[in-house]
Amino acid sequence: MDFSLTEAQEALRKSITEFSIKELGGDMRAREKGGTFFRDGWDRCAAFGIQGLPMPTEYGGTGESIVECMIAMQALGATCDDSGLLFTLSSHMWTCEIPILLFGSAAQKERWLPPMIRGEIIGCHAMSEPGSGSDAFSLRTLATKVDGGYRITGGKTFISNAPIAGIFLVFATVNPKKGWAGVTGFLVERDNPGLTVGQPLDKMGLKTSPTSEIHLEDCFVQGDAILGKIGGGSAIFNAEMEWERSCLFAAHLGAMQRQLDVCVAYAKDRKQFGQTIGSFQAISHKIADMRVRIEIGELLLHKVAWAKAKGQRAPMESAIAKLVVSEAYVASSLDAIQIHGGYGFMTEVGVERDLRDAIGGRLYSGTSEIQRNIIASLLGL
Amino acid sequence: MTTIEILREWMATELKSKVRELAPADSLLEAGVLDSMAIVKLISFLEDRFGVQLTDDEFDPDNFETLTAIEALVEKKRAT
Repeated sequence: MDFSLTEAQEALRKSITEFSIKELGGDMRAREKGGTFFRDGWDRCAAFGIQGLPMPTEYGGTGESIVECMIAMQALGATCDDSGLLFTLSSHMWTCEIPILLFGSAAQKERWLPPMIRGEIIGCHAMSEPGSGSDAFSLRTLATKVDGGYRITGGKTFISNAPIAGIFLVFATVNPKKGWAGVTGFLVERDNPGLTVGQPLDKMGLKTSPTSEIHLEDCFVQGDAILGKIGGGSAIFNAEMEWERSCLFAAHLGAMQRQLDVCVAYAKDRKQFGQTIGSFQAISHKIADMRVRIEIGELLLHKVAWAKAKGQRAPMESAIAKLVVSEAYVASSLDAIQIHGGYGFMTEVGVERDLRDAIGGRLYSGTSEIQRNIIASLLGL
Repeated sequence: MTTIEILREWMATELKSKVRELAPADSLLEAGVLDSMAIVKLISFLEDRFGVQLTDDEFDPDNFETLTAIEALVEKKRAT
């Protein structure tokens, strides 16, 4: 068993770290206050090759494995404090590009992947509905077969990237009686007259990642808009979730490293009762716990990536990793605020933003409760 | 026991379904035997009981529509 990075992986981590520090800074507070998507940052990521990391070279990507993608996202999380940008990148890459790559026809890949890799078209993933969140496959959006294709009618909510997306992976059922087995993925273009995108929703965190509702009203798509096969939506969903639960949450691990570095520096500098606060065990133990969480999360995520890179399904491992990392990010964010005392509570210091961003992680990609349900189910319970 | 008998027994016990009333060619999906959580359990059972490993693209409704279809999937996987 070898836990070290290869020379190439270390070089990738280093180059992404240098890129991110140089190109993804700027006034995060202003962007967050305005709920502004960091479009320049997005374009710089595309020029650098981030959106093409997991994509084959024939489409303009660099064909990195899931292990390298995880390393890349961890490096971005450690150096870029715009978690909204990283969330938008993740939605685009793991839940739109990857499904097209894994399940798309040759024509769909040729059409959509190159402009998505170049950052010219942003992708989004439309699954959640007002009446179906955790019970995702009970969705009601209906795709009815008509001459030449399908007509889709329904409403979706909490759709990350929708306000800025050019291509929507919409999940609809072709047969509600079949439950999950009727759910089918459709690629719907933004300019389809049957598709309406709502106003951006105001969120607690991840404010620079635009989110909205979408509405589909007799939205006609031709048969070639089906991604994969009829009734194959669950296969798409399960495959992409394992990617998302590895790579998106690797960015969280990076953010936890950034928090740790800030807290260590603060604990060495801040003095109370004539000593640096890091000399008090009440503080140093919190910092030690933050480091322990990173170590555990890293081992879990690397195990998922290792299994996926070997072509194995990893439902148990990815559920455990997602559960542990998302909960750990919240715990470390609370610790970071406590270590900073009153300063941690002030928005201008920036420490509290991580907590607001972290809480979403316990909800999206399957809540913590759903991860426990998956784990229990796989144990035969 | 045949594969179908093993599957039927497991579904009746673990999923508390009325699978015993269904014929091998009846739809498990339309009968509501296999919902989205049950399918997770079933795949785990198939992997443990029959020593097979399913890939993402085999997570296909056609492979789970009926007891006969599941049996065919298991036999195909065991043969490879």
